[in-house]
Amino acid sequence: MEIIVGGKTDKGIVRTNNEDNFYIDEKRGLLVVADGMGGHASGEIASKIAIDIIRDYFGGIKEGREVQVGKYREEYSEETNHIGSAVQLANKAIYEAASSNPQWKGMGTTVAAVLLNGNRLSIAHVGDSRVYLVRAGGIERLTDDHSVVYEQVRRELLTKDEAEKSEMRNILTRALGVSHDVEVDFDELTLARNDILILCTDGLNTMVSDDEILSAVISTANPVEACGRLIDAANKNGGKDNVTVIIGYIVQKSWLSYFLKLKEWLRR
Amino acid sequence: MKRLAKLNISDIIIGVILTLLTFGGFYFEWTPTEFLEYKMYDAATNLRDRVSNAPIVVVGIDDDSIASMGRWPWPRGYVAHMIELLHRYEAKVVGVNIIYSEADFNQGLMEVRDIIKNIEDDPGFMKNRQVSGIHGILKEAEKKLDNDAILSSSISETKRVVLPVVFILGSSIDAGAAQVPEYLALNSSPVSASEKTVSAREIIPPIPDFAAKALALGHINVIPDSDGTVRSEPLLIRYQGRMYPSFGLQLTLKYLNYDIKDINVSKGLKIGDISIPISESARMLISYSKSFPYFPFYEVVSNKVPTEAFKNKIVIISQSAIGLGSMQVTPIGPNVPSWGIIANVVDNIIHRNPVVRPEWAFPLETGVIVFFGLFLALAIPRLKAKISSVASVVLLLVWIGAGMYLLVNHGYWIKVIYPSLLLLFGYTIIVTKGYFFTERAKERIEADSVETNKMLGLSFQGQGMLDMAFEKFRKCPIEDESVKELLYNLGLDFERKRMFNKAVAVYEHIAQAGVFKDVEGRAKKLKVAGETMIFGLGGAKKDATVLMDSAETKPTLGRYEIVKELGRGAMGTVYLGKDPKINREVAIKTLRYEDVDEEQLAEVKKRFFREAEAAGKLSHPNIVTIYDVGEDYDLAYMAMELLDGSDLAKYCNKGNLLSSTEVMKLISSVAHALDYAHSNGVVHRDIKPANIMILKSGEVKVTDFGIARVMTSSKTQTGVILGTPSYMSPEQIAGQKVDGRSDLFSLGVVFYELLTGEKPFQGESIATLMFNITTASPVSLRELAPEMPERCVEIIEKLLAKDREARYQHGKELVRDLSECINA
Repeated sequence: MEIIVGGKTDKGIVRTNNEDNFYIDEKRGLLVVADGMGGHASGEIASKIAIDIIRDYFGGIKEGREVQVGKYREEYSEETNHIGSAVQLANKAIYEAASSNPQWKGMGTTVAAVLLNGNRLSIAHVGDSRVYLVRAGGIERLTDDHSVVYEQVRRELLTKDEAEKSEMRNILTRALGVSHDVEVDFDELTLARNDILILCTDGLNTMVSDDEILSAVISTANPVEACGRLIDAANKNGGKDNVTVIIGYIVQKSWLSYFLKLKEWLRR
Repeated sequence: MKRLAKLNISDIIIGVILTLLTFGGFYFEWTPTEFLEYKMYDAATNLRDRVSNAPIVVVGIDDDSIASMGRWPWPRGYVAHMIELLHRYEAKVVGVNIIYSEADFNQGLMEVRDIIKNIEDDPGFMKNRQVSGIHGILKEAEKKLDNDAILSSSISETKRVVLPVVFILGSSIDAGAAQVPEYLALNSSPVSASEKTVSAREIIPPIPDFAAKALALGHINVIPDSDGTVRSEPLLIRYQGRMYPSFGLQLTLKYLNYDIKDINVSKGLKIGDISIPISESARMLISYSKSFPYFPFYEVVSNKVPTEAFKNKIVIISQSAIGLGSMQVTPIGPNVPSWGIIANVVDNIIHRNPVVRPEWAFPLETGVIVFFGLFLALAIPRLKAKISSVASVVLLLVWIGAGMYLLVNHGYWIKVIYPSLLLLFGYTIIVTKGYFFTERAKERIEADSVETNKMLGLSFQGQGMLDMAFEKFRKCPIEDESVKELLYNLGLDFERKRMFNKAVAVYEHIAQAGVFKDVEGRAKKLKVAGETMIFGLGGAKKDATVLMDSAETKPTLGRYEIVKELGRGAMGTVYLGKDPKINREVAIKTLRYEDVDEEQLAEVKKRFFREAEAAGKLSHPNIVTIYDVGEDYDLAYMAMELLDGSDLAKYCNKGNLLSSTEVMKLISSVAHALDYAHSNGVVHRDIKPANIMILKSGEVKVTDFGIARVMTSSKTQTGVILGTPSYMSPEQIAGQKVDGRSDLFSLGVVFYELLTGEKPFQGESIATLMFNITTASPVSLRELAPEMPERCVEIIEKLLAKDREARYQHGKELVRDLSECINA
């Protein structure tokens, strides 16, 4: 499986700064979005630390430095545990940074990260940034928001409509950087050809409906173009928050690509 | 990568060792595994559903026959009669599976012979006609009584009787070309078969009278496998340098009109164009079938059996009565009479369908063992647990299935057990080992935070947080070269940022572990540089702070002078301020606009002022007085009474609890304040221990009326993480409009906590906590604080009612109940 990825971030119409961050490593199949929060622009710092740490973590693995942070969860694959470790490590870094600097007190970030390994996808996330899967013309959310209203809807304390209007709509129950340890949600699935992955911050899904997202993504095969369309749509609908989108189109590697790779390898 | 490589090497070693062990067992035919192999063989052979249509008929000397014809042993004449009968019926070959190794002993015959001798010895008698008549009768009787002679003549006349010989097995002392009787020479072959052929040291042939006249002789030895089951037939037994064929083989040879001379041993046993695969010890694996035509002896004798049944058949006369002859254990059953084995041997040879260990069996088994070994060593450690388990099970099933299929349907015996055991044990060992190994590795990595610290340090360094990076690297062992390198780079970064003293600290830290690069030189140089630079860099810094301190005009907010920072609250910094007009010290709470979303700013500001003004109107001894609200720079501020005391948070710990009376008085004061505020239309919204102060004077003051939630309820503000909402009321959690009763609920939570040191609603996560607040009832005070008066318990229960209507509707009702309780 190979992934064709594009990502884009925009501060939206209302905000003056962009606290979102994202990272794409096409070769390794690593995609991350983070939505920072906190005063004094510390949200930007938090999301940046998250992204950097996750990136460096995988760089470290490549160099043979493998660190397990938090409990190793047997029920998940090694790759999933890796990405979970990376998120845990990011949490520690942000937490320590926040507690060492009064300016950054209370900063935090959401994170949604996926790692593609062959046709297996590992997902780790904390907060209300989301991962969607578009398959066979349908869109499915793969992550559960760690937000108060989502929790309430899940427990049937609120209806979806009430949730839309709730005052606590943006209040998270979990985020990176809030405490020394964070509970990371894991998931794994097997990807098929022509699947489309979407990672986004809440600036997208609060402004653009799932159906709109779906139609924007399947109307093109160019991820950058699709990201642009989605961000435009979010801004058109109000753009009240920073918007970040990563879109990945899954394609089957053809034998030709293996051949080319072999050629490349032989030339080395 | 290195770790992976190591892991594989140990797996390879395990794989190789197991494979070699398997080969060992396989080659030396280790008894326990052979036993399993046999069981497998038996199970498969039982699935072979064969019905024999070989030309074999069995005449059994069974219990019924013995019952109707007299006790065993029968006179040999009976058998002779049977042979003649079968001859008449045109049986082609008659195998008499009864051993006649000694001459018949007949007392009657001896007496008659004695009398005859006496008569013949006296010439006078013979002349007497009467006596000679008697002599004739006696002669006749002698003839009738001489069973051996009768049998002998029927054997020689019918020329179709095959008789058994028995060997006593053991290594024979080959006495060269020993003189053997002609009849044995005729029934053995000088062919040189393998050394491993079963050898015998003694032979028990039938009496020469029979043996010489028999059509053929064959041995009836059976050799059970190590588990006592007869699976094969030694077609040839070596005795004194000659090969003796088995009884069954002889029967077949004669039936097919071959002779012993036609036997040829080379890669199996060849008789004419029939090739019988045999093992090195000249044994043929018997493919058993059960159904052979069988008739009891007496029925044949009494002509109850149609004659066609025997025409051109091989007839085996054999004992099958209980207690006569030996029974053998075979794969098809534990009590198979000897004729059963003989019949099956004949059947197998004629139909050329014995069970075979094909030539390719050994290479195949070897190959599969090697393949499984490789699979264990190389594939399993690399595959995911699920895949490797599925793959192993599939391989095992395919292999055993193939083995069973070949044996059941084609009669090819493949030893499936050795490779299967290899796979089974190997998988178990490698997987459990892998489990333990990786477990250990994981624990080690988890415990070892050096890598974590390095990574965090690098990341902080990347973010420009050099101090924090240093802190992290400091936790790593500096003896490690890579750590030194990291620290060195950090030192350079400090230098670049002109933080020379920090750089020196880093270099000195490295130097502790010995010489590294130019660390010492750099440190020295920097120290000198640092001293000269102090006035530049350090001096400027000092200036800045001094400027603040000594400035004539102190910073102000509105009309208040800011004296110092008191702390940081949820919405902004709290300062100690001074009202220069009346020289009163005040606390100034600020709301930083930049923390508020721009789109929300107007709304938030409006609410802030509305709430603050509403609260400002409140004048109550238990409510912090708000003097003033205003706006300056990009801050909104609120000047309020400066309190000298502490909040209730510290009284919420077990071991530091206030007495119940004190608590009730305190709650009563708060209830007073709430009642007053509520009746003035102000709802607090955030009653919690931190918002209730006890002053040094003992006064109780409620702070932050109304404004506490201005920030957190701003509508689209992202990312304020909800502090633990332990004191929220159910309706607050549901996002509904709140009123005074909500404050009373929160006060109930505070009350409960002050009494017990525990929060009434708890949860591992915020979500569970919130769920519990809306649905669960707290642990009753009756359990946690049994000494509390019942009345008090009821008060708390009423305060914590989920339904607003069920609570106290006003603070004063609570005050009333509490004072009752205090006075009681």
